[in-house]
This record gives sequence, C-alpha cells and structure tokens, in this order.
Amino acid sequence: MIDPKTLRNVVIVGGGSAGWMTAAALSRLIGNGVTTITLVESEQIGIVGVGEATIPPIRHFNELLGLDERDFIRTTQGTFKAAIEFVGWTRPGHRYMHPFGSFGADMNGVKFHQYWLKFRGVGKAAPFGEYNICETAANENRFGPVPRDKQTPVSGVHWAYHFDAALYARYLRGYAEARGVTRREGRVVNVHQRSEDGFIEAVEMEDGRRIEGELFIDCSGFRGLLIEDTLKTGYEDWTHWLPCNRAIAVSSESAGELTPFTRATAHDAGWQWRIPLQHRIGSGFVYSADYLSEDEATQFLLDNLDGRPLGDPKPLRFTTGRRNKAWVKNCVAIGLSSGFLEPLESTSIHIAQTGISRLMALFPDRDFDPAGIEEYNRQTELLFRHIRDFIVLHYHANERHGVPLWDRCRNMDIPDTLRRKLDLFRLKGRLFRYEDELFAEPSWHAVLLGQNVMPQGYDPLVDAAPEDRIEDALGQMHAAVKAAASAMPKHGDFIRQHCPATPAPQPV
Amino acid sequence: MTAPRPLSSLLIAGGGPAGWGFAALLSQRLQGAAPEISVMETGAPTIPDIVSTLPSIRTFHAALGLADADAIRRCSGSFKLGERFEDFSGAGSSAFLPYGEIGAGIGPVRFHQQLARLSDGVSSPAYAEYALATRAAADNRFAPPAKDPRSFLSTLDYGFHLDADAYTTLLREIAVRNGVKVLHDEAGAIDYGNDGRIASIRLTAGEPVAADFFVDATPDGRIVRKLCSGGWRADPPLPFDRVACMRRPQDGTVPPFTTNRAMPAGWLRQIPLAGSLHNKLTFASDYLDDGQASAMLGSDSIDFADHACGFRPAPWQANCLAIGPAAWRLDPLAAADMHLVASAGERFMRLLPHAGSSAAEASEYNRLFCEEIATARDFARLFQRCQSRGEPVWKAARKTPVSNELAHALALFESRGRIARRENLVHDETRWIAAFLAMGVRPRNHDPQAGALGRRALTERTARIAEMARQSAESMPGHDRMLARIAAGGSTP
Ligand SMILES: Cc1cc2nc3c(=O)[nH]c(=O)nc-3n(C[C@H](O)[C@H](O)[C@H](O)COP(=O)(O)OP(=O)(O)OC[C@H]3O[C@@H](n4cnc5c(N)ncnc54)[C@H](O)[C@@H]3O)c2cc1C
Repeated sequence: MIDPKTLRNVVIVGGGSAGWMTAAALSRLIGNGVTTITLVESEQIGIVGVGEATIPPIRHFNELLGLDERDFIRTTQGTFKAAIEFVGWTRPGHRYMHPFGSFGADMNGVKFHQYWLKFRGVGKAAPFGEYNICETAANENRFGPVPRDKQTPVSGVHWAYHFDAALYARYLRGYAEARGVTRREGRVVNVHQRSEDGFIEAVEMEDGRRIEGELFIDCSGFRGLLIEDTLKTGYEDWTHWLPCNRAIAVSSESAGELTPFTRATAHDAGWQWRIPLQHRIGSGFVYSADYLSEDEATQFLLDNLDGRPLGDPKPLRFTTGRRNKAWVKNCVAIGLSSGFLEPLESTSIHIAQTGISRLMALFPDRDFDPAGIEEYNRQTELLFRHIRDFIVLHYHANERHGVPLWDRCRNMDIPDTLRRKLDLFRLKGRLFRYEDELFAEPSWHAVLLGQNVMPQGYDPLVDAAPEDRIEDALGQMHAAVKAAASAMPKHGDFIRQHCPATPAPQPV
Repeated sequence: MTAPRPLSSLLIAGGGPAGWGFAALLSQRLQGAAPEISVMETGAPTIPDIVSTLPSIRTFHAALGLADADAIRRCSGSFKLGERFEDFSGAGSSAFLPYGEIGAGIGPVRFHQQLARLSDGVSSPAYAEYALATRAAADNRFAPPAKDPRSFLSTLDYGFHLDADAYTTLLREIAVRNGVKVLHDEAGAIDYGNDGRIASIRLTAGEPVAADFFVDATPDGRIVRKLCSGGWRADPPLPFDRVACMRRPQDGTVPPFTTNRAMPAGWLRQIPLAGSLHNKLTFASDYLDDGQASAMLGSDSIDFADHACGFRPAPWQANCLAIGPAAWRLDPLAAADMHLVASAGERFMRLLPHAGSSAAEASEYNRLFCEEIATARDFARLFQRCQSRGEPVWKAARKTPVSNELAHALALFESRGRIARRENLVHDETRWIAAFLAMGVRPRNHDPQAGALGRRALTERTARIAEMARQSAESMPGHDRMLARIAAGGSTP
C-alpha cells in the first residue's frame, strides 16, 4: 500500500550543478512507484558552472549515489585535492597550507597542537604542516595511497576533487535521466500560486505549457526565481563582513607539474583562485567593486595565468549572504538560490549537497509539516553561519597594513561567534567546535596558525608530560609523516596511471 | 609580558558524589601538572541518596581506573540495563527504555522508521523489544557487552545503581590515593581579592584557606551564590514539588533496571540494590500530604525534601566553578547527575585556566554547560509532557510549559518520527526515540525513505533481529548470578 500523503510530483527548476545533483539524489524516490521528478532548465540562460574545487564530504555524496570514483574522475577531467595553498593572506610574500586531515596525534588526552605550541616556543618542533601528511605530500606534488609498510596513525590521507563543474552536471544528468527523471527544456516565465495559502502549484513555460508540482526545488541560481521572485523570502546581506562582490573567471592552458591542491592568492582588492584540472587550469579573480574596476580586474587576471587563456573571461556579480529561509511553503532553495559565500574554502557545492541530504532526511509529505521545515531552516542557517565565520577569519587575521580592503577587514567588528573563538584561541590555543560545525578543529588550527594568530600560552596540562618523552613522540610523528609522504606517487603519475580523462564527447 | 602562573591550588567545597567525583577525576588526570587539590567536606547532603546512572558512567570509571566489579561490590550495586515505565500511559501500561542499540538502520532509514513502515502507522510494534537490553531485563539477565562488534551481544550498554554514600567513599579513596587533601570543616565567610575573585574561604574557627581556584560542590551553592546573586534559572514548576525517600531491605531477585511507576499524585522510582530497594516518591503536595505519602510507602522512617528543578546558567564565576546541586537540580528521570559531574570535570580540564583572569574560559564553559543542561532537562521533561494519565495533577503536568527546543523536538517526532539535531544530546538519538515511543507518542507517518523498502524483505529482517535479541538474551547469565560471582570476589568477564 502506498501512503496517500506521498508527494506525487516534484519539480526542480534549474539544471546547473545544484539542479542535477538534486535530481540524481532524489531519483531514488521514484522507486516508490508514485513520485515523478521533472527538471526544467533553459540552455539560453545557462549555468554559472565555475564551481570546480570541493571538500572531502563530496565523497560521501558520490558514494550515496553509487558513483565509481575513477569513472567520475575520468569523466569530469578531475584531479585530486588534498589542501588549499594560501599565498599572501597573512602578508605579501607569505604562504601557508590548509590541508585536509589532522596534524600529529593527540597524547594523554591533550591535543597535538598544544604540545606543538610549547615545543615550537623553544625551537624543538618542526613547522606545524610537517605533521600533516596531506600538506607534506602536497608540497611535493604527491598524491595517492600510502604504501602499506609506511602506514601509521598519523598518515591517514584525506582528499576531495577538482573537476569541471559543467561535466559533473552532465554526468549527473545522465545518471538522473537513466533513473527516470524527466528533463524539460525551456524558460520559466510565470509561477502560479494557490490562492488560499500561496503554495506554488505550477510553473509556466515560454510556450505556455504548465508544469504542475507539489514540491518545488528552486535551483535557479543567484536570482532565486521561486524562493525570491515569487515567495519574496528576503536575503541577509553579509557584505559588511565579506566585501567581495564580483568575480572574473577564465581557464588557461596547463603548465608545469600537476598540483594536488587549490591555490588562493591574495591581492590588494581581492584574491585569485587556481584550480588544476587534467585538461586546463581554472582561474578566477574574486574582488570588491569598491576597490577595483572590472577592466582592471580582468587585466590583472589575464596577466596572472599559468598559460594561454582559453576563451573569454566571464564576469560574475554576487552578494554574499544567505536567503532568510531556504525552505518556504512547498519550495526549497538549493544551490546559489539559497545564498552565496565566496569560494575561498570551496564550500558551495558542499552547501548544496548537504541541502539535498537534509531534504532527504526531512522529506515532506502533502501536509508539509512546519516542524520539519523549521528543522531544515535551522540547520541550514547554522551551516551558513559556521562557514561564514571561517571565511571571515581569513580576511580578518591579516597583516597587510596600509591596503584599504585589508585594513578594513582587520579592523571590522567580526561576528560574535568568531570573536569568542578568537579570544579563546589567543589565550591558550583552545577551540571548541559549535554544533555540527563543518570545519573541524584541525582546519581552524591550520588557518589560525597559518595567519599568525599565535596563542599567548598553551594548555597547562602539556607540562604534566615528561619533556623528553614528548620530544621523542614529536620526532617520531614527524619522521613517519615524512617517510609516508615521500613514498606516495606523484599526483600526475597517479592520475595518468589510474584515471586519465576520457575526452568529452564532441557535440553532434 | 610575564608568563601566567599555573594554578597551584584548587579547593573543592562539598564532599558529596559531585565534589569527590570531580576531585577523583581531576587528580587522576592532572597527575604531574597538578594543582594541589583539597576537598572541604562541608554541608551534609540533604537526603541520603542513590546513584542511578547512564551508560556514560563507564567512560568515567575507565578514566578513574575503577573496575565494574569494584564499583558493584563496594556500593551494594547492581547493573542497569535501562528504565521501566509503568502506568504512564494509563493504568496497566508498561514500557521499557533500554540502553544500547535498538534494531539496526538500513542506510539512512532508522530502525523505528522501518517498523512504522511495516505497520503503516496503524498498530505499534514495540520498538524497544528489538533491543538486547530489553530482552535481558525482562528475564533479569546480565552480562557485559561482547567486544567483537560482529556479535549481537556487542549491542548492549549499561549503567549502574549504586549506594550514594558508599560510592562517595569509593571516589574519595581514589582521590585521596591520588594525593587530594581532606579538610573536615564547614565553609564560613569568604575573603575577596581586590579583583572580585575569591582569595580564601574561612573555616568555622575563622582560619582562612586560600586557593587559586574554588569549586562549589555544596548542596546549596553557598559559595557561588555570593559571587552572583540571582543567578539561578528555575524551570517552570511542575505540580510534583516534593520527594520522599526510603530504603527497604529486600531479598530475592535484583532486577537490572530502574522502575518508575506513575500514581495518581506522583510517581515512584524504585532502584534495586543488592539486598535492598530504594524508593523515591516524587509527588504533588497539593494532592498528597507527607502523612499520606508515608502511608503509601508503608514506613515511618522517611526523608522528605522539597523538589524544584533549575540550573545556574553561569556556573563559572570569576575563580569559582559550581557543580552538582550548586549548579543544577534535575528531575530524577534524567538520571544524568553523574554524567554531568564527569562532563563538568572533562570540560574544566579542557579549559583549565591559569591563576589569573579566566573570563574567556568561563564564558565558553558556561555556553557549553547551558546547552548540555538544557538537553538533559528536556529529556526528563519529555515524560511529564507526553504521559497520558487522566488525573488533574497529571493533566497539569502535561500543560506545564516546556522549552521551545522540546516543543520543536516533539512536533518533529510527532510528524514523522524524526529527531531534532542538538549540540549535545546527553541521551543519544536512540534513547530519545525510545522515550517518545515509551510514552505512547506515535508519529503520524513514517519517513518517506522507508517507503522505498520492500515489505517482504523488511518483515523478514526485523523478525530476524527480534529472534537474535531473544536468543542472545537467553545466552546471558542471570543478573543475580553475576552479582553473586562479583560478591564472591570475581570480576565481570
Ligand atoms: C565565482 C564563483 C566561483 C565558484 N567556485 C566554486 C568552487 O570552487 N567550489 C564550489 O563548490 N562552488 C563554487 N562556486 C559555486 C558553484 O558554481 C555553484 O554552487 C554551482 O554552480 C551551483 O550553481 P546552481 O546550480 O545553484 O546555479 P546555476 O549554475 O546558476 O544554475 C541555474 C540554473 O537555473 C536555470 N534557470 C534559471 N532561471 C530559469 C528560468 N527562468 N527558466 C528555466 N531555467 C532557469 C538555468 O538554466 C540553470 O540551469 C563558485 C561560484 C562562483 C560565482
């Protein structure tokens, strides 16, 4: 028997990566025999399609769909990502890494970095990153499995991917269509709401067709066709904390060895990303229009590419912040329609994917119970705030004195939640994770220490352990990480051997 | 800049389970860096009490190096596989809230959703029956969980019932062995430093005892109160405003669980120890006077006390941290007192301050504490909110306001059996689900993801789990036999 409250028609508006990720994941529901899923997209409008760097949880999402990792890498021109390199954020000429995974190992119930703080103070510890396998290997452009005889508790490798977002969307489209998702091409020109309660009942296409649904997923990108244009949900603007509001994106020919990390290089008016794929390098410049014109930004980007540009630079505009509610009535916003945080920590695709998992976990029926909607919105808001704080930290903890954008960020009032974190960390290097926070302690440690936020002291418990024993332990961890890292293959070799790209099918 | 000075001395006022539990944990873990720790055994506990714990006590004992057998032997203890609720959903109703796992999820589809899918929301299969703890408890059996995660016997978890006085003595021994000093005296006046911090506490004779940091583990918060007047947040009062405690010798089978029996004007909590049964009646004084309560318990030697719940939102003030009854009073149904003491100790060590100002540490501690205490409180409140007895006093209990978080958690569960995420659940998701179901809350519908599971295979799978729970329980020894083995000097396997 089928539950009479089961939703019958789910309509996804938008076929960017958010739309097709949603369609792929929800296609599982079609198995119940009553639910249909329709995706509407307009080739004429097109997609943003520049999201190319990710964080490790994407692996869970792909696993949930049952994607084969190597097949996925081959089809999307993908490469592996083990870290982000931040160049010039602390001050010009400086660099640090934010690698995935943890640093060293905790001892006697005390965090590794606490011991490190003490021993570094007396010159008896190596640089922090040398206790992290991802960073150590990335610095040598190595990526791959650690050989069995070099595996130790401190050598667990964590990774995510770089890929061509348009190819990923196409890949997922094939997946979703094979599982029964219907695609409709065309532009939505009108949205119809039920008179009694404002629920959306149908979208109307340019040619007059109506597509009816009980649940609408708004994946229409920045403008939020349903969640904003129709439902007028409102937007919380965070530009006062994160002043960048423009981007220019362009690809270039590859040059040099294949790196297993994203690079983010700070500039007086913003920063530049560099994302290595198999067939090209994705680049872009994120900046604030308060400090730079579009022409200047474009020129800067073209002057700072690895190789020859491929195609024309593409300008984008955005407002950093989040939609007041991601779920209103029978409409759930997923992807850029739910809010935007600049790609400094590669989180947009992740935000969309958690939105999808959350929607699955709280999937509604025709009653649209308000408790489920409230829970969805509460969790979404928390996620946005956590990521925001982490990104604000990168701008705030800078020593780029005398540069207007950076002076402004250093001196601004930061969110309370971040203020508390910084206060506590500055004292004795302590950190407490907030509810379900995406970035775990090692990530905060990497960025805080990387940007020279040095605690005044360390945990008093550190002194309880005999110094010579700890010094030995630190030495062993350092050696183990080093040995494991240098036994890993070169990233380029690993890809060539296991998952070289199959050339994208030519359009017919 | 001069380096801050490490804490060199810590004075704990209050020698109950909270004070000594805290002292034992700190002295065990801080060896080497230790500030000198002293406990002032001030303020006798109001009523002789009992400790009925959550499974997390095992982590606490492991940190202390305390073996199960020693805890049981020294404290006339018994094992606790969960709590039974009788008559909460009307006379004759009975439900068990087991510890450990219940059934098994399939991918993202939790076990109770699978059951709901099979019943299509009509009948209500007893969720808890799929837990090993429920089956073992029904037969008065007990064995510690198997270590092999593939064995069904590994799904079990347990806490303890322990005599509070004996337990305090045991914790005290551990602490003293670790070098904690004991002061037998009452806390008197407080001397303040020029920065609003406590400099010393005077003994009865007027002699000052100085320390860098103070822990208020007194029954009434007599120290922290002086630093922060009005810092107590009372819960909206339930009609049950009084408790009566009494212990009766009892031979025969010792059940491995706590029983709560609802009655017209309150509820009786019975906690079995080896050789005795501890009775705690929590009742509404508007409906039952002390005399009637004595008559109900059938005894004259009863200790009475007023009962009100609440907590201190900022238990860390200047250089003083309040723990135990000085910082929280929870409904007994939360069973979380020792859990909170251990967690206060862990949190304090993670934030261990230097001798100077500790404002940043205090504010972080207080934030985390509030999250935790509110969840523990809400869990206990759930029973009062969701029971379905008809008497006016129980109706009034149902109407007593609850926190927004609990209201939301209930609405979410009622709609499709989902559990709201919270920073610190204290009781894990399984226990929240089991508690809602034990009180007769039935989700209107199941998770649509369960709808995609085939009925036939699902029916077979759940039947297999039930059978495994039954068989595994039958392979376990009797609880009495386990206690006898321990009493004879054996250890748990
Ligand atoms: C500068 C920049 C850099 C980024 N870098 C990263 C990164 O490194 N990592 C990362 O994870 N993410 C990154 N992102 C984010 C990433 O690009 C997006 O999360 C991702 O592209 C998802 O976008 P979307 O599907 O929500 O929207 P879009 O790609 O904009 O898709 C919108 C869809 O809606 C359809 N549509 C809109 N209006 C209508 C209509 N009226 N009728 C019919 N169809 C309509 C369009 O046709 C399109 O299919 C970046 C974003 C920007 C702006």
